[in-house]
Amino acid sequence: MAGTTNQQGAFRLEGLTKTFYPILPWHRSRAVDAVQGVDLVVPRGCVFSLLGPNGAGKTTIIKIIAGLILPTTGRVTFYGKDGDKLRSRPRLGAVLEGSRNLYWRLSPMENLYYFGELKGLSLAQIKRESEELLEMFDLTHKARASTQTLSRGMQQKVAVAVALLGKPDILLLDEPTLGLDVESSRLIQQRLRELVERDDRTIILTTHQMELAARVADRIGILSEGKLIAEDSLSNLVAFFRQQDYELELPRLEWEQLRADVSAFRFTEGQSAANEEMRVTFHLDNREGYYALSELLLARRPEFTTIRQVTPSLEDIFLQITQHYSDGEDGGGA
Amino acid sequence: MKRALKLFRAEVVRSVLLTIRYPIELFVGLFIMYMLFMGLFLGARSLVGDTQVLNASLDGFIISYIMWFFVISAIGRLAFHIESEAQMGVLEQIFLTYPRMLSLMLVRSAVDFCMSLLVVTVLLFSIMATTGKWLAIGTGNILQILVLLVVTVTGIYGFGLIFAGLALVFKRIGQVGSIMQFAFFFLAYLPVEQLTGWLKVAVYSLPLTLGVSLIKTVVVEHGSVFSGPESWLLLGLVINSVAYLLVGSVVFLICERKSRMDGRLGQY
Repeated sequence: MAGTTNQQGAFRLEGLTKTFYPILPWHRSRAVDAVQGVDLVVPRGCVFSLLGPNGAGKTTIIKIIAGLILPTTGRVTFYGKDGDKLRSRPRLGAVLEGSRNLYWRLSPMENLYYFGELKGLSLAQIKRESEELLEMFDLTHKARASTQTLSRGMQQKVAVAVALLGKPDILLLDEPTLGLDVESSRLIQQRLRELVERDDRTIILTTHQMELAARVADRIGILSEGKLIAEDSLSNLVAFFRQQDYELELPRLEWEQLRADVSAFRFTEGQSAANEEMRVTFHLDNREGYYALSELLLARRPEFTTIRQVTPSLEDIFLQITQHYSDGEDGGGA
Repeated sequence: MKRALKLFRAEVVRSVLLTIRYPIELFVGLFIMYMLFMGLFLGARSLVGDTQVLNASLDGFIISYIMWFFVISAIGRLAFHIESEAQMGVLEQIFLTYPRMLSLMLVRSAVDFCMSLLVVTVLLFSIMATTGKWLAIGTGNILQILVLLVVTVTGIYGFGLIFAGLALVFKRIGQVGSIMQFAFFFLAYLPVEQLTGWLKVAVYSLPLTLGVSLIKTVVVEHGSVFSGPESWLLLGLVINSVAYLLVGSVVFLICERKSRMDGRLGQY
């Protein structure tokens, strides 16, 4: 699944690696390989979500795209042009540290003014866009309050508004809804989808919140230990994993008799709603695995209540891929 | 140029807003600088004893103190901005929004100088009113003083860029900056005129010393730096300041690249 698409990319990462060396030369043995050979094309006008466990390299990649970190090797191109050259960089907006990206002593309006000037917008444009953005995020009544007196959710919305100022072509969001209440999180998600569908923007999103990625992302990239181990559309990922996961519900006693016979298969156990029932999900690697399991079940003929193909959630897919990858890295098989 | 003016306006507005929102910081800073001068002045008077001798050198004493104030601003504030913005997390946002960071730092230096000039004016008048010693600043020499001030301060801000660059890489360099401010306090009061030979040349090649010396020539000795042998010293001051600005800019660019290479722009 990992690879590139044929579509015209908003940006492309080619052979990207990043090794962080300690500042003291005699500590170079403690170097950390944060990103290892990532190739990726992100199409224009989509939400691309980078998922991965802590330390997988998500934030480093986002910051390399933003130009805040220089790669050790490899390069970033935007619309086919070299990202190193400031003139060829498109307009970028980012929320990297959430509400920490703001001057807390200034009001939302003053933050928007300052960053609007840095972006080179005219005063009229800053005024018009600031008013629109504050209204979009229901912040008009707090426009002149000191940012430090706002709630965390409001501060986060101000940070997103600052990033959207000047209508950036590419928006980089690192955990944009972390710690937000449901209402604020939904509002931001809704606005992000509108930006992509209505204005053809490209959004790169890193998150630990699978439901957020599932709700807003068009494409998903999964990182583990600095490597891009999967990249596809959410629907393709779900279709791929749906073929391989089967859920079986059967009485506990039946399962205990069957358990030893199916030990060659990868499965996870759980209790069903009725406490006497077991819910077992088989993760099959291919069609042959399905046939082998079917044959075994036909031979043993356990009294199972239901068997069905599972539609995996993004969280299931994520856990399976990262687990599979880390087992492979450890030398184990799955 | 239009972009630079927009940046200048943005930085002025930001500085003014942050200052007026917390005016107590400004007034306390001003009060401390005033009290520090009075402490030095009263200490010197009790040591010298002879009021006439002290009065004769008081002009130079005040000029050195005022010029030292600019050093505090240039070395302390440029690096402090970087440190505090990295701590807040806003430094990355600034860099992302306006990647030509050196240009931004130069504009910030200009704004900081203008703000410092306003504060210095208040401080200077307070000092002159308290000591009763009014510096000979008037229409006859104001242009020379302003030229000398701008050229001298350019070199000081160039030196400040080195610290700003180091703050990008090492973040916590406040202590080093404080020590440097005291070193410059010594330089501001160094009797350079009494030195000779290579030692004089070496001391003049440092930032601040030649500028302070020439301002004293204009204000205390009523000389001119636009004509006569002193004009060569003015040329030397220009070369000195431009050199420090260039060196500071190069060091800042190297540090900025190092900081981006190590991913330290947002770390504190």
